[in-house]
Amino acid sequence: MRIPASLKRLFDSLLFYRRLRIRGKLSLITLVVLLGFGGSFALFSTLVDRVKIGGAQYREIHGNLTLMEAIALLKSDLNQVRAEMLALATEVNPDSAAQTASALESLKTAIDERFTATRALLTSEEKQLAFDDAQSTWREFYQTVIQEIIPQVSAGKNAEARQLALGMQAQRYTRFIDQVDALVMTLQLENEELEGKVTALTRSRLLMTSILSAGAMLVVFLLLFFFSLSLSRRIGRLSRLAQSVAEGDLSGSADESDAGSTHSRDEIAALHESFSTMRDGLRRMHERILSAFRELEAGVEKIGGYAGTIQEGARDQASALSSVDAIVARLNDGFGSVTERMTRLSGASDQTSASIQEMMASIGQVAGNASSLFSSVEETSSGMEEILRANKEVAGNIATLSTLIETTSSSVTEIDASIKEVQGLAELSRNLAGEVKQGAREDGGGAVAAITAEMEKIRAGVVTLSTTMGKLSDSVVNIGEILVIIDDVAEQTNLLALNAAIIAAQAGEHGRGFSVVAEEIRELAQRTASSTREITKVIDGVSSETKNVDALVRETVSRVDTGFEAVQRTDRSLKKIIERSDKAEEMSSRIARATEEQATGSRSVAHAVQDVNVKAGQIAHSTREQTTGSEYIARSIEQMREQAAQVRRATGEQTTGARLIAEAGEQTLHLTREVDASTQESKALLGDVVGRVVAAGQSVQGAVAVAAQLNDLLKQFNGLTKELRATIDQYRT
Amino acid sequence: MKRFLGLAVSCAVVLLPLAAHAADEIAYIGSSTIGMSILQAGAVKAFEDKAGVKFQSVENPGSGKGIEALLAGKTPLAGASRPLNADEKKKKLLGTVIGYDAIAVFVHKNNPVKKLTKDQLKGIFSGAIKNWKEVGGKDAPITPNTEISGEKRATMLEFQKLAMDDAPYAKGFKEIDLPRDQISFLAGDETGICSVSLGLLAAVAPDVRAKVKAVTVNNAEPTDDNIRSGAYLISRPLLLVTNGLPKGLVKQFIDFMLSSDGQKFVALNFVPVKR
Repeated sequence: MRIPASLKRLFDSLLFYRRLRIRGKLSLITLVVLLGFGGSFALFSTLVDRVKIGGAQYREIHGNLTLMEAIALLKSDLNQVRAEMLALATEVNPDSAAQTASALESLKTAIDERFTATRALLTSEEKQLAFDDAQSTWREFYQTVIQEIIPQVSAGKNAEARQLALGMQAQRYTRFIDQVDALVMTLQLENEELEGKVTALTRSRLLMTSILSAGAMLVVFLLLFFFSLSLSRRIGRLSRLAQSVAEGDLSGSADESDAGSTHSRDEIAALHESFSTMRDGLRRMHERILSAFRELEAGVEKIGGYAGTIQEGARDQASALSSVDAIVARLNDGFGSVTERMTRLSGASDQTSASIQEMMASIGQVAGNASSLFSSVEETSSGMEEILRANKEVAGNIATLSTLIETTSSSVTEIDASIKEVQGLAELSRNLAGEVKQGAREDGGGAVAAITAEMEKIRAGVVTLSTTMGKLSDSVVNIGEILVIIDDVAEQTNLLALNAAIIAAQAGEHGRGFSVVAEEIRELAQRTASSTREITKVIDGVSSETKNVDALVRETVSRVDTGFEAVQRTDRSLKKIIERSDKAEEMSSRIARATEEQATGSRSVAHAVQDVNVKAGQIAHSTREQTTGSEYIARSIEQMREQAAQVRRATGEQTTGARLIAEAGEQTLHLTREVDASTQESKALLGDVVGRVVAAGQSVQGAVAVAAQLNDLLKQFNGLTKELRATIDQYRT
Repeated sequence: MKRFLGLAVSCAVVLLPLAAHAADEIAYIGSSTIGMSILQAGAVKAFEDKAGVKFQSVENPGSGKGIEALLAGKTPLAGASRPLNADEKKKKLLGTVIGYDAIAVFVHKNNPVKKLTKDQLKGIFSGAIKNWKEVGGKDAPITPNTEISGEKRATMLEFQKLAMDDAPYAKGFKEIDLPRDQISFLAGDETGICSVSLGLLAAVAPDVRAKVKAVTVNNAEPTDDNIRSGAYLISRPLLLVTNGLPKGLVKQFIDFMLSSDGQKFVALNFVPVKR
């Protein structure tokens, strides 16, 4: 199939879409929508531009219609002229010719104007040619009317006029109609063509717009469809992966891998990748735990094996002891019969050597039995040695385990110590931040506040000074003004005094006294004026000084302001420091809290390790107890062995004695008494052996019990490890 | 691939007629007056030289057959030496006037008759007037000659319509195939009369031309102005006819015929529309 192949190629060419991020995909879809709408809109706009009223097509059509209208009007005008002409030709009254002539004259002017106007509307040379042709026909028609028909009617030659009107003029009229008809036909056809074009244009643009819109919508639909499809599929895969990890499957068998991951570079692909990485990390961690656990299990299994061996050995020992017991019993029985026979022997000293032979055989039997007892004890001893070795190995393993736990414990302790150190540091930094804050707040803030207060005071003082200076300045000005008035008054007084002096002089003798007074007044006035001028100088000096002071005060104020501003900046900085110290303190507190939590966690880890340590200790203790028990058994067995060896030696001696008895036989009966005494001695010894064997049996029972206890502990440990294993096994790799 | 090929073929099938129509071709079927005396008298060659294209054919079976061929789509251009009738106009045929022709009424140089009215012409050709003396001439039988009757020759029909009020031609007139030969024949027939395209006078030999003369009709001489305006009775427009608006080469050709260069060829024998 070729079509799917080509479709595939098409999809491959669209792969860039897959590489886009989700936002990119959505942007692309939006872009397609916008392009579709934009294209449709542009097509519509151009269509509307072409077709609308006042558009290019409209103007052409409208122009042609205007022309046709003008031509129709021309035809009707010519018709009117023709009607006038025909009316005139049938007129009997020659006077009406003049009236018709003047009427036609005005009509001609209008028609000629219309011709000119219409011709101006014609665009092509060919149309102008046809139009000129028609116009020349009109001119001839009109000339014939004016130059021939009207004169003929005036001259009363009505018949000739009628002939012209109905003949030549009618032909001209027909020709005119033909000529303009061709033009009208051309215009009509042009309009039809234009209308066709407009219709076609409209149709094609509408079609294109529809196709464009539909295409854009299809593309958008497809993009959205595939987008949502792949999104849900890929999120589903991711969800299944998460589900499988949650259910404990770390193998990655459920990981279908993001199908689009070879192409997709979007957020989901990244998420998927991160998730896979996380799962792989979990798997590696799980594997490490599992391998460590396997080692532990192997150790436990070894311990179990050793315990089994111990138990088995104990059991073997017990069974060996019971066989020893049986043999001793039989020996005892044998001794019973010997005693009996010895009694009979002593009772009947004349018993025959046959009886002695019989006794000999019995003693040989005893010797054989004693040998077998010895070998049994030997076996027991070697079994016991095995138990001891096994116990020592267990102890060694337990010691290794304990060392491991110790190491872990010490690591945990170290961690705890580190955490505590961190905690301490956090605390320290919090305290430091607190101190900084406090320092900033108390010392810096206090200092700044003090400076601010001082500055405020200075400022206020300077301002007061400035105000006072201003008032002083005002007062000085006032004084200056008053001085001017005083000066003025003194001047006037001076003049008045002068006048008074003159008048007094005129008054002669009577006026002399007055003249003196007037002179005094004038001098007073002059002194006043001079004093006033001096005061003015002083005041001016004061005024300029005041101004200097004022300028200085202003400068001081501005400096104080600058200082004030600097203090405020310092204040702000301090506040920032406090703010930041607050944050630092808060951060330190958070660290402290976090480390607290961490410490708690680490403590619980330490506890857990401690628990394990205690259990291991218990195991070690049990093993030690067992070892002690086993050693005790071994010592007992050793003793037992020595006793058995003594028995063997004794029976050997007995055998020799018996032989001597057999040789002496019947010679000495009293020897039988000795034999009897020896037999009694042997019996006592045998009772001692029995007692020792019973004691050994009791020790073995103790060993068996200890082994069982050990076994129970192992079972308990096994149960715990199985539980742990089951927990770990929940994670498949 | 096949599918694309199929699509291309079907597109071609749909577009071919349009393409064939659009492919510029030019040919002429129609009036012999236009065909022989304008187109083949140099106009076609001049146009071909100028535009660099060839006329496929120029056929002159007459105005009526030319219009039929045009309507049947056998030619993009027809010629008519008469106005289009209402029926033809209704079919959206468009006639472009390139010039005017007059049917002149020729008599022998020795014939004293100088004027004839429409009624007299009608009488002569319908057979009612048979002697020259009835119209102010000598006592001699009138011997008209015509083109082949029954072939819808435009000149005969126009004359019949304009001068004879559609009365039938009388039987027994001398029938001559080519109008030019009618004039030659008249040169040797002192009592003869014929109505032939005025332009043909230029096409005959000077000695023949010297032996014939044109009479006035209804007192109108066949002058250029009178012929253009229709004042001369037996005048007719020379039309290049197209089915609808002219397009492509046909339009080029019509524009050429209306230009000064083209009008020269009209002016050889006829009255050009352009002054």
